[in-house]
Amino acid sequence: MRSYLVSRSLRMVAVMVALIAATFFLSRIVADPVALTLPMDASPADRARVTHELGLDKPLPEQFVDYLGGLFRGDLGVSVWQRQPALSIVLERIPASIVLAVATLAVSVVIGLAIGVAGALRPGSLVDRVATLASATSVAVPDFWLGIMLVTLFAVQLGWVPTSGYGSLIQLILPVATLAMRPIGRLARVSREAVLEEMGKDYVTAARARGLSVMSIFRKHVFKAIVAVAITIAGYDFVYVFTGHAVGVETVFNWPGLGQLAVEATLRQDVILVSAIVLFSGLLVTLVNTLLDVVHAAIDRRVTL
Amino acid sequence: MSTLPDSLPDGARELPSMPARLQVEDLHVEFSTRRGPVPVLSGVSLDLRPRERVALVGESGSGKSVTALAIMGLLSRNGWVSGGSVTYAGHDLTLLPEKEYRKVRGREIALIFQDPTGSLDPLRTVGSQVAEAIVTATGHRKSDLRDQVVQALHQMQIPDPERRAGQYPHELSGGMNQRVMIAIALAGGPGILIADEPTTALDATTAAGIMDLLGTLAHDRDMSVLLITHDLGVVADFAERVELMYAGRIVERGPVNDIFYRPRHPYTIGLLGSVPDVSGQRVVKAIRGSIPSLTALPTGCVFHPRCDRMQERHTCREQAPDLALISGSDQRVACHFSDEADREHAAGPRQELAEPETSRSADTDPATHPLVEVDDISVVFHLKQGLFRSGGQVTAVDRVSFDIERGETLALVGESGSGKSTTARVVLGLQAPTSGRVVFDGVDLTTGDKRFPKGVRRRVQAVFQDPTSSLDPRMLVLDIVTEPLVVHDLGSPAERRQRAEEMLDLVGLHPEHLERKPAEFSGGQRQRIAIARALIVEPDLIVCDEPVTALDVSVQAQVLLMFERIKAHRNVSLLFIAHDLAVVRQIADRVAVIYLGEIVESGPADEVFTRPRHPYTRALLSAIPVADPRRGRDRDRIILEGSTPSALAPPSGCRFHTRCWKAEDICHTDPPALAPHGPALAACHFPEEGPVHMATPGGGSR
Amino acid sequence: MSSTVDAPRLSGNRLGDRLRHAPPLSALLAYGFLGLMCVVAVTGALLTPASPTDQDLAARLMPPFWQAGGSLEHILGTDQLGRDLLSRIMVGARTTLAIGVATAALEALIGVPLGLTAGYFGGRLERVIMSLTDIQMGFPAALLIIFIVLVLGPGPVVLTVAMGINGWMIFTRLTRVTVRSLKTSGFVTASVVAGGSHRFIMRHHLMPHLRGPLLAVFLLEVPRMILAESVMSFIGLGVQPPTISWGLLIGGSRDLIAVAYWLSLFPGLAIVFTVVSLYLVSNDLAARRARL
Repeated sequence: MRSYLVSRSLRMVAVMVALIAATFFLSRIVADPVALTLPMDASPADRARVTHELGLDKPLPEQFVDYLGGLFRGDLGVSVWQRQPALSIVLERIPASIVLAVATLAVSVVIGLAIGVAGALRPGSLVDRVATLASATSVAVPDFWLGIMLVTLFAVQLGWVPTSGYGSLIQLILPVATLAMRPIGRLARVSREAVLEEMGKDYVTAARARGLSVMSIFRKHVFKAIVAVAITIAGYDFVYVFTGHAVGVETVFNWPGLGQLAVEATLRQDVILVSAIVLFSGLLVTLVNTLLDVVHAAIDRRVTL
Repeated sequence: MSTLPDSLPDGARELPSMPARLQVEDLHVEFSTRRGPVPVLSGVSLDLRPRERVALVGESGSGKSVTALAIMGLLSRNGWVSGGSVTYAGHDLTLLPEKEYRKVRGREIALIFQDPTGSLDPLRTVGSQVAEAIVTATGHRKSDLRDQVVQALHQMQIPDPERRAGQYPHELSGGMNQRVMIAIALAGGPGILIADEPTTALDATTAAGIMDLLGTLAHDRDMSVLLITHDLGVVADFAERVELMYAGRIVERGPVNDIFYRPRHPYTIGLLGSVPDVSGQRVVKAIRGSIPSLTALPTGCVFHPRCDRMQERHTCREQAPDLALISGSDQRVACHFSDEADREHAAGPRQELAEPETSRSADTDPATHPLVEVDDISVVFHLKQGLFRSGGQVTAVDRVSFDIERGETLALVGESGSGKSTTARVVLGLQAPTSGRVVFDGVDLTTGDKRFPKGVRRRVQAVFQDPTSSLDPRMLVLDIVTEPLVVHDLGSPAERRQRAEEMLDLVGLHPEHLERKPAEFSGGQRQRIAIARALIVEPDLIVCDEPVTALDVSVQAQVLLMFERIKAHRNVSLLFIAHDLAVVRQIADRVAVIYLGEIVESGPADEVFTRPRHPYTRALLSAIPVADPRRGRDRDRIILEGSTPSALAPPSGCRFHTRCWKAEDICHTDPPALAPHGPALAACHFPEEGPVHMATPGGGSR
Repeated sequence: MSSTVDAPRLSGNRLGDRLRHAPPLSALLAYGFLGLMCVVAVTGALLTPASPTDQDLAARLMPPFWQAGGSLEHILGTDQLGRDLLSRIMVGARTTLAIGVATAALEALIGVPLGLTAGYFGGRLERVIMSLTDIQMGFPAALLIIFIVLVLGPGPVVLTVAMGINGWMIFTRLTRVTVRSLKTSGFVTASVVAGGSHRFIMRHHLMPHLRGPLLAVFLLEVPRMILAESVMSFIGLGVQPPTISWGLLIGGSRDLIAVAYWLSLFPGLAIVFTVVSLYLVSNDLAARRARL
């Protein structure tokens, strides 16, 4: 277990370093921060001044060290668009993303697991077949489009909920319903397969052979295996919101999360802000992924072998 | 079925005093497949009396395991009982609702399986699983549960039960897990134990201990045992009565001695003849053909296409025989012409003794070098654990040396983890040795380059254990068999095809089989195709890595005989890897026994088999179940303690000392050298002198 | 007949087999729909009932033909500039399918050689490649794609490249796992023993077995990339007007959902049908392979 922790942490650090290098490369070398900062008709003297101010006249390794140093001090640069430190802009948007992620996670775990397990305990039944079909279709539907359709129906036609916005519980319903659809489908499918696979193993037959009922075997043995699977999947869903995959849904519902911020910043050509978003959420996600793997390993000790 | 009406009175006559504990009558089971329902059991009847040990014997597809699952009401979703009954304590179990059935399972009838490690929950300690079984069985949780668990493990002769209880299944050996499984199965105090191939996944020396334990437990706890197995040796050692199954039917039934000494069904006779005899006194005789697929069963007597007794008689082809009682005996046989068995016995199929051979080793010309010289090879694997820390190392093969002469067959025998397969891989050039050399016909093969010089590559071919995986499922047999010709660019396509046809003929297949894919063949046929592929380039050496292990007994005999024929006619040398000494008895000229990476004994086959010097060889020989009840029960039994130590931390001194009954202080410290003892070599401080007591047929017991 | 040979284990009647192995109705419909989409994508504006770009201000925001105010001239209605929606969806098929296929192909182009190298040769090379794969898997893919688009400027080519270099890992993993298990399989060992060279083994034993699984994953990556393209175009960072794609059609009509739901509904349905069809086809091919 200890050596697993060590190697997993090393992998985490490697991902973080690679991510920092990638954002550095994209924001300083591929993009031209000077041109993006100044108006189109800036004079060469202005260009030289800004180049010097941003430290772009130094050799590359030195620039990278400065960049790293900035990261450690929490300095992710100043947004060109909002004239504010990028980090504080990002932090402003975090609560909205967390609310969305946690609500989606909770809804999808409860519903997805319930559907999957119910189907697996009675494979081939009507419930199972409907659930299988629904979960297969759910991954084929573009979530932003589903969001638009839900808004059309429930907000525009029926008027039950507001079309968009952030702040009240009722405004949370549609975005979460939209965003949870895919995780529910995936979790239902994966947990169904995991239960079926686990129930088909020899140790389950052996447990039945000594008189245990299917339900008690499920409670005592299979459930633990399913939880391990569910944690992995659910963690993936949580991460999903923070890696920008909710950007379509956030746009549809005008939800002030990280995804929407990234889109706005991109449309305004704000390289500094976008790179700050990428770094912040990337590092956060890497940390969460590592924690999930460790929890998984603690449940299933064979992983660490 | 017509066997039913008279089976009850006859059954009573067989043993009038005791009523059966469990009675299976005319049981039919079907499975649904994509091709519609398939009958898996077709009228199986058997009964189990108190304290009786009955063996249900059959090869793959005979339905023996399905019978066990049907008795327990545990058939998978696509299988169902379509007729007959399972009577226990006056109830027909097949009619029982699931809730009632659960009270029978574990408490009345317990079941253990072949794969002990898979039968345990991988995510929980073995102790907690035993505890759960005890709580389920007794219905309440006592304060001394922990002591009860340790006690239960102790009764299964698990050493250090306190520590073991806290471990997970993957941390225990297979034999240990099987003991845990038995403890769990017996927690409910069942009157009947069904053991489904309980030792098949285990090494011979471990298996002997498990069967011993089962025998003791059955006796101490008044249990009836239904042993399900394919291994006639285990049957002869353990059972009182035998039920022999073939294609979902019982074809012969009777007391163990009658079955082994007066078999009447041609299948029984054939199967007994197929079992290799470790004493070397009887040559293997094969049954022709292969086990029929359940989707295309023969008409009439299901055995008729493979039967020598039938002789084109229509009755066999048209009419299914009943399991009829042989008058004056307790034996029942499903054969129209079972009376002819006596005449066949007079001709003496079991008396067929091998020619007394003075020397079976190949003629060697002292002037030339051996074909293969394996000189002091070691293979060390470094285990990785984490990025920086080394996980230690395993010496899989430790300073192994042997020669193989031209035309000679050397058998390399060892249990799992002994390094025998790694040695084979070194000889094949698939694994570079850490040190030492392999010289093939004067050419050093281990000079750095991983690949053989092409000239040598052609002369060394191989046959592997799993015939299914060793044939590319997408290729035609023609392409498979001619592949060595293609890669060496030998012959035109027409010539290759002709060679392939010759090879198929040699291994008993037909030219038209060239156009088929491997999936259309049975396991035995696939192994023949693999042999044809090895032979097509006329190699000087064929490395055979457990080539018959994956095959059923009757098919195994066919393939063994084929190797003998090839050996006799082709002047090819064989390096024959096996875990079973009996299998190599007939084919080997010389034998080397390997334990934890070291050769502990080697020498001419007759010498090693009749007067083994090393205690491990003795133990291995004695662990082989002999398919002969009297000889088997008379012979010296050596049950080794514990299990093979991990190769990660091999014992000091003599590696066998942890399990050796002769070990003294010197064995703990000084590793013995492989030294000559008579015509053989043995690595032991206290080598045995006398011949092993094999109990020849007809008595002579100590 | 020689006595040692039994009949082939499963003999069946060929016609019966073929009927039994015919794809289910859903798969047949999927094949049909995809075939149709391919024709539409190839022919472009040739087959459209109306011009996808001609504006007709008199016929603005016409509903589908079955609704009051609709007409058969514009089966699925018109947009705010009076352009025929069906024609626009048909023309959009080309962009959407092309980006989906090109991205999946780019992923395979990067991922398969890496996986092949890692799986076949193993050792340090494998460790390096798999670390790379792990690192890339840990990246916030969607945000990085947005970042790349910002830096390089939006457009179909940039989008394809950005999505491709963030999504190749699945091909590497699949190829490596498959090759590794093939490598330890008996028939490859047998081929090594028989004297087969690396090239011979790759060509005769690895590629035939890789083809099926790779095709299956390819057919699952195309719809995934179609979905990704549609989001990117929807938020304005993918395909730019005047090029038409399905995501862009939905994005362009977002403000009109209250008055013209059809402008969002039908392009979305086009995406759903295409994606579901690709899933069904991939499943059907996998099922056929399993039967072999």
